[in-house]
Amino acid sequence: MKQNVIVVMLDSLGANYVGCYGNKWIKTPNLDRLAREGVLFENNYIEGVPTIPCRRSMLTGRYFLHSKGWSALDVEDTTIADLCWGRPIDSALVFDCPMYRLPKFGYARGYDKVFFTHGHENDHEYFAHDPLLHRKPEDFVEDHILETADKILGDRVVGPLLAEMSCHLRESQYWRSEEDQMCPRTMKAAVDYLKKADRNKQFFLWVDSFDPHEPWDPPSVYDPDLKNPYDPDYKGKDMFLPLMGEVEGIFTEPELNHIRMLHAEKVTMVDKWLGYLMDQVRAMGLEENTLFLMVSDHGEPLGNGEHGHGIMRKCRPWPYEELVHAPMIMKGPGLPAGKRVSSFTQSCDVAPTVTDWLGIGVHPEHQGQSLLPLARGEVDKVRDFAVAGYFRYSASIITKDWSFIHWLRPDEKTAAEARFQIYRVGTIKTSGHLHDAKIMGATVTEWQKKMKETDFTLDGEDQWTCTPGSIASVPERDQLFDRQADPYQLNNIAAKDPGRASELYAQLRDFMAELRVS
Amino acid sequence: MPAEGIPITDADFKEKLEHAAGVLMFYKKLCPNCKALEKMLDKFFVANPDVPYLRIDSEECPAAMAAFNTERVPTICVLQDGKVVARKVGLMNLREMTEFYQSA
Repeated sequence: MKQNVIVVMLDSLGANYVGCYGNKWIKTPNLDRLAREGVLFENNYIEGVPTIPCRRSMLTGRYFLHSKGWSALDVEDTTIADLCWGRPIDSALVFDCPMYRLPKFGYARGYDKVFFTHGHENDHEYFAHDPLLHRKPEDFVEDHILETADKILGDRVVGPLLAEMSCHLRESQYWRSEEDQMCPRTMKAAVDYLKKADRNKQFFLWVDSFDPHEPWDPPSVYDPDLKNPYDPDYKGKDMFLPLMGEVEGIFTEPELNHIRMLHAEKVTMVDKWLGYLMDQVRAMGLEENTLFLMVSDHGEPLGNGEHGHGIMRKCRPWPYEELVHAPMIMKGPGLPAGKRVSSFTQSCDVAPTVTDWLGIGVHPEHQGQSLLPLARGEVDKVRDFAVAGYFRYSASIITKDWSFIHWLRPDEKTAAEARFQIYRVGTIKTSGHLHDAKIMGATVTEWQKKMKETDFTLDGEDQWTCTPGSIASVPERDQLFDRQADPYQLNNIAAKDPGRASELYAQLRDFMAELRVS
Repeated sequence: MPAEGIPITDADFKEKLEHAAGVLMFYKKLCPNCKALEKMLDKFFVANPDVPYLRIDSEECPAAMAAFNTERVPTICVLQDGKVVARKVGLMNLREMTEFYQSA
C-alpha cells in the first residue's frame, strides 16, 4: 500500500476559534468532523512565531526560536521535500501564502510541483496597477480612526494601511462569488493535483491556505445580500483590514467585536472549503492510505484581554495564548477516531510525523518527534513542556500548570519598530537586487534607508552569556501565569510566586541553551 | 565521556599559557550556558583528541580574565603560541565550533 500525506496549513487559525477546541459559538463543522474521525492534539504550541519561523520549523522538524527568525530557508535546512528526493514520492506545494516566495526566501524549494495563487499580503502589489472601480478603502475604515490614528499611534500608519487595502480592493473587485476567494481557489487547486497524482507512487502534498489570515473579507463584506452570521445587526463599516497596533483609543468595543466576527466568518468559510477537500479525498478513495494532517501557524491578537492583550494583529512579539496555541488534528487509516491527546506537541513535530508516515523515517536532524506513536497510544507523551516565542524578542515555557514568559529586550519601542524587526529585516537583506520593487507600500531602497536609521542589528548574543559573580535573577518584566486558573495569561503572578518563576526561568534557559548548542 | 580539560589558574596562567596552543574556555560553575557549551565541547574533543583543552574558572581567576580582556562567559579562545587568534563569546553548536577552530 502506497502511503501518502496531505498537510493542510490554515494560516492564523488560533485554537480559540475552533469548535472542537472548546469555542462554543463558532461554526467549524468540518474541523469538528476531522477531530471526530481522527486525533486532536489539545496542547499544540508554535515554538517560533510568526509565519516564516513556524513554517521553517514544520518543514525541517527543528526548533529555531533560539537561532533564526524571519529569514530565507538556508542551504543547511533539510525540508520534508528535500527528504522525498530520490524516492518514489511525488512532492507538491499548492499555496497562496506569499511568504514562501519572498525574494530569495526559497520556501518552495525541492517540491516536484508548485502551484501558487497571487494576491495575499506581501503579494498584494501584484494588483497595484489595476484600476479601482466603485470602491475605495476609506469605505472600510471608520472616520474617527482615519482622523486620529496617526496622532495616537505616531507611526504614520494610515497611509500604508489605505494603500494595502486599495490593492486588495483592486483584486477583490473581480470576485463574483465565494469560490473566487483565495482559500476556495487553493483548495480546488489541491484537488486538481490529487486527481492527477500517480496512484502507483506515493505523494506528499502540502496545501497552504493563507486564509483565515487578514484581510477578513468573508462574503458578507462584499455581498450586499449577506450579513455577518455572528454579528448581523452591526451598523458600522466592515474593517476587513484593521489598523495594526494598540487598540486603546483607536477602536470602540463594538468595532473590536465586529472585527473578531469578520475573522470568525472567514474561519467558517475556510472550514467549509477544508470540508470540500476532505470530501474529495474521500470520494477519490484516498482515505485508505493517506495521512491527513491539519495545522496552523498561530492564532491572532484581536483586541483587549483574552482576545489579544490590548493589540490588534501581530504588531508586537507577544507570545500569549491567543497567538501561540494552534490547532493540530490528524486523521489516517489505522489511527484512532475521536481521540484527544493532552501531550504537548510543537511545530517541529510536523516533519518527523510526515516522514515517518511516508516510510522515510525520522531524520537524524529532526529535533521534533513523530506523533504517530502518540496517536496510536503507544506512548502517552512526547515532551513535558512546550516553548513558544519570537526570535530575539521573547521566549516562553508552557507546562501543564504554568506558563512563564521571558522577555529578551526591555521593550519593543514603537509598534513600527517591532513590525520592522519581526517582518522586514530578513526580507530586505535578501532583496537588495530589487531596488524598485515594492514591499508593503515602499520600495526596497526606501526600506533599506529605514533599516540604516533603526537599530536593526539586535544580535542578542548576550542572552547566551553571563558575568562572573552574577546571580540569575528573574528579570522584572518577565511574567508567570497559573495555566489552570488563568489560561489566557491575564494575571501575572511572578511577584507572588518568585520561587516558581525562578524555577521556570532556569528550566527555560537550560532548554534554550541546549538548543543553541545542538 | 566528559572532556576534563587542563585547569589553569591566576597563579599559573602566565607560565602555562605563554606558548600554549589549543582551545581555552572561560567558564562559570553555575552558568547554564557554560554547561550547555561543555556538552558540545565533549563532542568536539572526541572528534579532535589532539587539541589541548584549557579551562579557566572566571570567578576564581579575575587576573586571567583581565589579562585576556574577557568579561563574559562562556568565552572560547583559540590559542597559537600563547596568542589569541580567535575569540567567541556565547554559544556555538558543533558545526560552528569546528568551523571556528579550523578557520582560526
